[in-house]
Amino acid sequence: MVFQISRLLIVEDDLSLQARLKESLADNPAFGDMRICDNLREAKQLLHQFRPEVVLLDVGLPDGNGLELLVERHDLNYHAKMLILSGLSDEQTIVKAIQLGAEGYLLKQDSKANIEQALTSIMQGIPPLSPSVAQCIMQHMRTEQPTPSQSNYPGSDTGLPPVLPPRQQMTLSLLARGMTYREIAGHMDITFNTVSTYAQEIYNKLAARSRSEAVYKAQKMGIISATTH
Amino acid sequence: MPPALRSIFIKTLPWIVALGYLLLVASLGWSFHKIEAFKIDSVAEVSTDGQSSPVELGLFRISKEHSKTSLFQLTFESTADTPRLAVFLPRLSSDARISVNGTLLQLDKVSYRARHQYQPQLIAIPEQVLNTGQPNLLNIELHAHGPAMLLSKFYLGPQVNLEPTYRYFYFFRTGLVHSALAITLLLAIFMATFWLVRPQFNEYGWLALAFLAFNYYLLSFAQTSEAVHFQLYSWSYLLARGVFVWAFVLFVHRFLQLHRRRFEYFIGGFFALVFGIGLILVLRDQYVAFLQLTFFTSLPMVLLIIAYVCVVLSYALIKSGHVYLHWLLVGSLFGLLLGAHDALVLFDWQHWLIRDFYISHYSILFIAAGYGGVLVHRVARALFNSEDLNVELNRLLDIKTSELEQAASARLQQEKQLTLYAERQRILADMHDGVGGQLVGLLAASRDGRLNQQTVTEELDLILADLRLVLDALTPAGEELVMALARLRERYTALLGHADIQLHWRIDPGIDAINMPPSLTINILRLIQEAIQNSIKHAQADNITLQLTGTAELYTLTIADDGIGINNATPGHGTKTMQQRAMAVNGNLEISTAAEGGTRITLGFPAPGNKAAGDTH
Repeated sequence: MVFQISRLLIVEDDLSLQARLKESLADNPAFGDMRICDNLREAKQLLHQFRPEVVLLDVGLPDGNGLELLVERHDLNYHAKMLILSGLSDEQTIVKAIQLGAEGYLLKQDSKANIEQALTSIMQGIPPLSPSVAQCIMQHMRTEQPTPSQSNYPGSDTGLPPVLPPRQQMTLSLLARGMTYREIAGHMDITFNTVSTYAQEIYNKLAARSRSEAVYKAQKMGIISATTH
Repeated sequence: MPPALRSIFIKTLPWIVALGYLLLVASLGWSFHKIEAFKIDSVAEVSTDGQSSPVELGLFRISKEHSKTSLFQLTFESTADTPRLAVFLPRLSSDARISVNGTLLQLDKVSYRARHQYQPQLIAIPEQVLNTGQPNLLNIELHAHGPAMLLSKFYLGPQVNLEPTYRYFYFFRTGLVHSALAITLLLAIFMATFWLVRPQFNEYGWLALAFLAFNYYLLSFAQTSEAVHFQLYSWSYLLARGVFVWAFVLFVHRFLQLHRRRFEYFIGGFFALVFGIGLILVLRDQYVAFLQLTFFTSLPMVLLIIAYVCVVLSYALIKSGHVYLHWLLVGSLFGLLLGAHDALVLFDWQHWLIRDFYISHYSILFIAAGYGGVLVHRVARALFNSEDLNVELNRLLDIKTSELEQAASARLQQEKQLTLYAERQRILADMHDGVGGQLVGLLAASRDGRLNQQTVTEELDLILADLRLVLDALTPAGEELVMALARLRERYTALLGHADIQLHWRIDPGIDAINMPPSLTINILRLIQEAIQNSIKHAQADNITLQLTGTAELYTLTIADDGIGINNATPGHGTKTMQQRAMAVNGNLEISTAAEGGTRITLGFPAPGNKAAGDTH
């Protein structure tokens, strides 16, 4: 049996949602092995032991911020894709998640179909960039203040707000306006794959590239304290 | 220099300068006394018919005739070692011709000017000339043109003795007087200018008049014009002296803010009277009588008035000790002193017509410097004060401006707060009606036992959808309608996919941002939601199209499906609420059945800002 996603980890502390997810995803032939946990400590353990390909990660966990897992995964010797699943839709959390390298951000209130769709497209290498997320990114880029450069990581943020090249900028704005990848491709007269690449580049623009950068950013955000790691 | 020291310096400076000037003048007088001249035994004037008559040395002669020759015979003792002789005449018309023992001598200075000038002359007498003629007898012939020939005291003596005094006197006579002329004229112009600019400060005007009058008076010492009517001319400059002193008093009164009008009128009247009578005398050719009149009345009055000014200034100085008063008082005292000296010189009763060494007019230099300086200083100080004031005012203005700006921005903040608050109230009211109403309905149904699971699920779904809609509208991007519609699409795509309905999204990419307050966005989103719900629930459609087009002023939103169409005969409660929502955005709603079947809902609404969209509440 060829699975799109052989190993999936769900980190979610809301039991009813857990149940719903388990129920819907278990039916899907695309998904193989699935593990569920409801706290951060266990999630970290499972990350190392279970070695999931994709993680559905909740932000608000009882023993910490789920975004810590985004930093934790740098200790692995493979790249675990992480999809943040959260009930919060505020710009701050979305942007933080993307800055720490999340592959996608989904709102819990999105229907199950959306979630499944996102999981499969992630495996196909198509980053999901929904209108809400696009709008958050745009807002973030508009309002980001230049910060004094404190890090000396090569290629890390120089303290300036991230600036996108014009094509990606247009893609982002069209995404914010609700167009699908296909429609954007038609409108901009490019291929679907190009649009998908642009979306990935938009993600990459914000994301941390190395472990140390991720740690630094997480510390700056207050997600992890300076004494850990 | 520390301020205290500076103040003392400025106060004592005029006294020091006055002293120095006084010493200068005194030294001139002293040099006159030191002139060694031969004792002249006698002088006789030889008249035209050869008759000689003794004269006193220093003759003051006025003549109406055009030219006059005076022949004087001087006898003196000459010794063997008589040095080179010279005659020093302090005042002689420069075109006068002098012959000694019949030989015409060249004058020291030849004037090329047409006008006569009373210049000090030093005439060296060559030895040959002395040796001609009789020993111990000198014939001096003075020949002058013009209406007057004035002969003041003259000195005969060794040239080497006479030379310094001559030089000294020349400096005073020409250099100082001309400088005084220039200074008084300049100051008169200054004062007149100040007064023209600020007529209410009429002290400047009076001082200008005083300086101008004195300038005219001074001219008679520096040079004299070939006035046809010499007597009238001398009347005029003596009158000028009177005008000077009268204007001066007026200035001092106004400067010290004293109101003594009657005294001023008295002085003015006095001079008017004296010079009125004088004019009559002059016109009747009674020049000597006129001179007597001015000497006995005008001159004492002038001195008294200057003394009065000194007293007034001293009193003011004692009271206030203001630095200006030092300068003014010293100048006035100086003038008084020199004037008194001149009066005494004139008072040489028997020789009262002899004009020898008059120095009172030199005091004008000092007076002009002091008074002019004081006023110029006042003006300068006012100028710089106004500059400082300007700077200070600008500073205060800046402070005030920033205060106003702060107040304005604070008020703006307040207004924003109020607007936000009002907006929130609207939304809460909306939620109360919408979600609240739905929950109340659900609760009622639950109590009545009318609920089944499907109803509950459906209702809860609707309620949740509504809540999401409201939350969507409240996000920061909620003010941009297209963004809100994008999120709506995101939510509906999956939902409709489940129900096997295709959602076609046709939002014109050219549409620019439509900024609507969240409460209005909610209405449009709700309208669309209801339309879509209707399409799903009742119309049994397979395709739903949402379209948004429009100009910058008017937008058209169309929700169309390919279902069974709407039955116009039974307007459901849904259409009524849709109409309400349309009204809330100042829009126009049309629900119709499309030609090819299916329902078409068209909403036309104006861009917010074109019409007061929020005022419908």
